[in-house]
Amino acid sequence: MSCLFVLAAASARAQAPPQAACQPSPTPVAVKADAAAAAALTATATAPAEAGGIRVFLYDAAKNPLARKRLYLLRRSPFGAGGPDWASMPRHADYLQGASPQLREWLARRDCDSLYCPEFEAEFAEAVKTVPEFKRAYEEGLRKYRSERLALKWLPVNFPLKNVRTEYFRRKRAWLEEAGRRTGKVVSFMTDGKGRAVLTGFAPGEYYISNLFPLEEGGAVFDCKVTTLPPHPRQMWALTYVLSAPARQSASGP
Amino acid sequence: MKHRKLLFALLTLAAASAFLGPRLAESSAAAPEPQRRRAATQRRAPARPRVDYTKFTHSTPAHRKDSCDSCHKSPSDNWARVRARDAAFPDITDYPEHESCLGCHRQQFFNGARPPICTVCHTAVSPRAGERHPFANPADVFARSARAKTRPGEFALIFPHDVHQDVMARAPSDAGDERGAPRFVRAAFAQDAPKKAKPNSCSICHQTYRRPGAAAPTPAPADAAAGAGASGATPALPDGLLKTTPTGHDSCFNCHWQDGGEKPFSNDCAGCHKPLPKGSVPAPAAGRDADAQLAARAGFADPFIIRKLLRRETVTFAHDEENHRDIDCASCHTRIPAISTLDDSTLKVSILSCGGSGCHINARPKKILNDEVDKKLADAAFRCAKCHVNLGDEKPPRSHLDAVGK
Repeated sequence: MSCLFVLAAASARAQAPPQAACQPSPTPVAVKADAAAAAALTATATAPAEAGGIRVFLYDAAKNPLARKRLYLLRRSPFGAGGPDWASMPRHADYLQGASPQLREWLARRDCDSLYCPEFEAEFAEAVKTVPEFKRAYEEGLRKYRSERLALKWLPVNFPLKNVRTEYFRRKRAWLEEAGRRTGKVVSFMTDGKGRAVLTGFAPGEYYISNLFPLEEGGAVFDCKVTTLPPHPRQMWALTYVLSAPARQSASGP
Repeated sequence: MKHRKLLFALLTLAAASAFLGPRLAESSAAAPEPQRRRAATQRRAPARPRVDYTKFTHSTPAHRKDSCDSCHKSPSDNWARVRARDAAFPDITDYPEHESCLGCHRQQFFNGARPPICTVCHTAVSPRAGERHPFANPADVFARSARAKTRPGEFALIFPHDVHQDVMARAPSDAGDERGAPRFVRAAFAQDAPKKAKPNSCSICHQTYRRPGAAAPTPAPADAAAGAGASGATPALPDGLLKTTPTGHDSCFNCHWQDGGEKPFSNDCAGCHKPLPKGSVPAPAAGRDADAQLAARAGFADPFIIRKLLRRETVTFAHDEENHRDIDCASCHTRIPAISTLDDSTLKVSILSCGGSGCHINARPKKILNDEVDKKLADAAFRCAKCHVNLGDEKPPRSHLDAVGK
């Protein structure tokens, strides 16, 4: 029995995504200009209830900023004991059962966890001509609503493969919730168009910044340990970290 | 004979007093009792408060007992006629049928020639008059009706940005990505690279609101000279101040339609509409930095936009001002996942986001926040008018003083 447990634990470890570290950036220029004020604040006797913000820059391996990506502030390291169950991490490919080759190709060219991405809407008119599942959904909508416009706009509602439509998104969300619970999720943030996020609104202490879920299939999970500083009075952040995804060695993981 | 008559009279009197005395005594002792009993009876069963059947509320316990679709039929029969043909979609756009009320309110329905309960839906009470007040949906039509002024909303909207942003907030993929290659989203900002679409997925739901007939977008003002200062003049509100927010079911039902869509379904009203605590109203009665008069003077007519204006603390901030336009929304709205439509405080943006690259907060060269705080500290009558209208008369808050190092 214990052998089985050890094997299972080893297997789970083997399926863990590659780990990526972060770099504290050099002291930001704005802080240098206000060094005296910052130092004065640090020296104040009473500890503030809220920690200074943390600015994060998220880049891919080629140093391109990664926009609109979710980051989490955690109490515990995602790679520590009792961390996420990496073996149960959903893979998009597992939720494409029954999909036609055309649909697989259509989805592979787009970056979305579900069919509800509004950016898809503009492409539905073409998709109903080339992808069998979209065609079926369109015809079903036409039958129900007797309106081409509605049949196209509500295409996902009548999409025949529910597992393809949202199941991956659901599973991923549920997995992230559980992973967040195990790692003591404090708050989550989203990077802006420049791959930047400013994390604010938490108590002073030690935290980990992580994406928890790889940003791509087989991608890395950041394990960025940070110790907060007191709030900076003149800017939203007191610390800056750069998270750069390591170059991938193979498509299948570590 | 005389003695005999006197004896008879005395005996009669004694007999009468023996017979009537206890009864009179009992009667006199018991006299207040019926009054006390009546009073006690009145206290135990107070008269039932009169119910005003002209006023319907969802918060009545009996109305909350059953599910929403026990009264509201989805879709309504009239859905195709309520909106223009090219905008129509299956929706709940009409009052429930009489049957949904009759189970409990039969007595009120047949109460006299003009039952007050009819006025809940009908404009005139008559067996022949079928005319009804506008239904609360489509919301934009109802909000402009006279009825909306007398019937404040009973519900707040539940919209978790947290969930929706994972579905919607996706940066557009590179067209050149090949299958099997890493699917990182690339967003190039190098000056010599061709300009690509800005990954602003917020604009899927939030567009710049333009007042009807308003002039061109706001030009960037010369920073330090922009305030009205001590002149006290109220600045004209520029165009492009606010962003819209979807107000109707059209932006929800293409995913949440009951027949095949995602939960909460369109026929589960409570999945998105949360009853407000009794007595509360969904919009602030009076604004903080703006007020209803200012909104009217500035030409705002859309009730949803006015509500947005009234909850602002920096009325003159224009999203579409030429320098703000290109800043990513998440640069200032740093906590988008935490935004709650049930809590306006989660919409608050830190003043430090105005500092950015020294845009509006800097000592040398002196920027507008430093300038106005200095002037306000020197002269309490000075009005901070770069960002504020009504709040500009008040003392600068601690956050502003901290930001300029005072």
